[in-house]
Amino acid sequence: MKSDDNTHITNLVGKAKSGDRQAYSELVKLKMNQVVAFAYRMTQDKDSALDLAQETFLAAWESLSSYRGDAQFSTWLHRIAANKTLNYLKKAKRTVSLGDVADETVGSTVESSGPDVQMQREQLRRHVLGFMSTLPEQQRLVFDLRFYKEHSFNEIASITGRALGTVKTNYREAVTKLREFAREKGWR
Amino acid sequence: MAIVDCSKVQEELLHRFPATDLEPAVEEHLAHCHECRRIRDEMMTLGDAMGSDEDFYPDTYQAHLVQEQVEKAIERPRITKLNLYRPVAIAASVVLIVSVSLISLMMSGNDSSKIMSPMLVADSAEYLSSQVASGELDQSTLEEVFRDFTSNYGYQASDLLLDDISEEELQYLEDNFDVKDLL
Ligand SMILES: [Zn+2]
Repeated sequence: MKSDDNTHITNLVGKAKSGDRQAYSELVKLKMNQVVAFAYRMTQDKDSALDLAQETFLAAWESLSSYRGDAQFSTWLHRIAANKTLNYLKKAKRTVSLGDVADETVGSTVESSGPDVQMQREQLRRHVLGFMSTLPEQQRLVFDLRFYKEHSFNEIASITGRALGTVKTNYREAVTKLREFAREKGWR
Repeated sequence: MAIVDCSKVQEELLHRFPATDLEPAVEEHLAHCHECRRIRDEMMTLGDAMGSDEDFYPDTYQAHLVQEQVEKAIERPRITKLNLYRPVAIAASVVLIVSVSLISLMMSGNDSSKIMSPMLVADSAEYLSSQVASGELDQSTLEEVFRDFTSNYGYQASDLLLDDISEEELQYLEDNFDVKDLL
C-alpha cells in the first residue's frame, strides 16, 4: 500500500514538474491534511495553519524544478513547511507572545456541544497544543517531525539543517519535557 | 548482548518513543526490571494521549478552501513566476544577510555568533538600501558578508524565501551587483 502510494506520488511529481497543474492539484489534495496538521501543532492557531499550508504549496509549486527526487517528496515538502512555519513564529513573536496565541485560539475551537468523539478530539488537541506551546521552536519542530510525521532522525536532520546528534538530543529533551508536563497536568 | 543498565534502557525508551517494538535485549531487560517496565508503560500511555497526525487534520470544508486558493494561484503562468522567483529570492537573501550582519555589528560589537534571526531584520531592508545607495557597500563587501553569514548560520540563500523586497530594491541590486555569483 505504502509503496503504491509512493509510486503514485512520484508519478504526480514528475507530471507536475513539467507543468501539469492537475497533477499538482492532486498532490496538494493528497498532502493538504498533513501540512495543515503540522502547521496547526507548530503554531497552535488554526487560521495561521491554513494560511501556512497555502503558502507552502505555492512555494513548493514555484520551486518544484529544484526538487531532484533524492529525498521523499514529503520530506522535501516538510522542509518548506518547516521554513514557512518557523518564519511565521519569529514574526509572531515580535507582536504577541505565543502563550497568548495558544490560549485564545485553542479555546475558540472548542465546541460546546457535539458528539463524544468530537469532544474527545478537542480535548486531545488542547492537551497537545498546550504541551507544544511550552517547547522551544526547534524542539517542537523535531518532536513533531518524529512523533507525528514519523520521519527518521536522518530525515529530520536534513529537513531542519541540524546535525544528527542535535536532532536526537532535541527529541530526547522534548520527550522528557512531555513526561514532566503530563505529570504536572495529571494526565493519565 | 543483553542491556543490563537501567539508564541505557530508559535512554532507549526516550529515544524510540512512541515505538513499542523494542530490541530483544531491551524487551528482555523489561521483563525483569519493574522500574523500567513502569516507565515503558507510562510512555505508552503518553503516546496514546498525544494522538496522531489525523487528530489535527482540518475539516473538509477548510481543506477545500485552501485547495481552491492554491489552484487559483497556480493558474497564473508559471514560467514568468519562475523566472522572477530566483532573482527575487537571491536579492532578498542578500538584503537580509547584509542587514543581519550590519545590525549585529552595530549591536553586539565583535560577537556576531549570537545575533538575531533573519526575520527580525526583515524590516531593515530599507536601511540596507540606503547604505547601498549611498555607496557605502560594494560588491566585495557584500560577498564577504554573505560568506560569513552562510558559514555562521548554515543557511542557503535560497532558504531565505522572503518577499520583503520591493521591485525597485530588486532592480537596484540586479543593476549594481552580480547577485548570481553569490550563490
Ligand atoms: Zn531497568
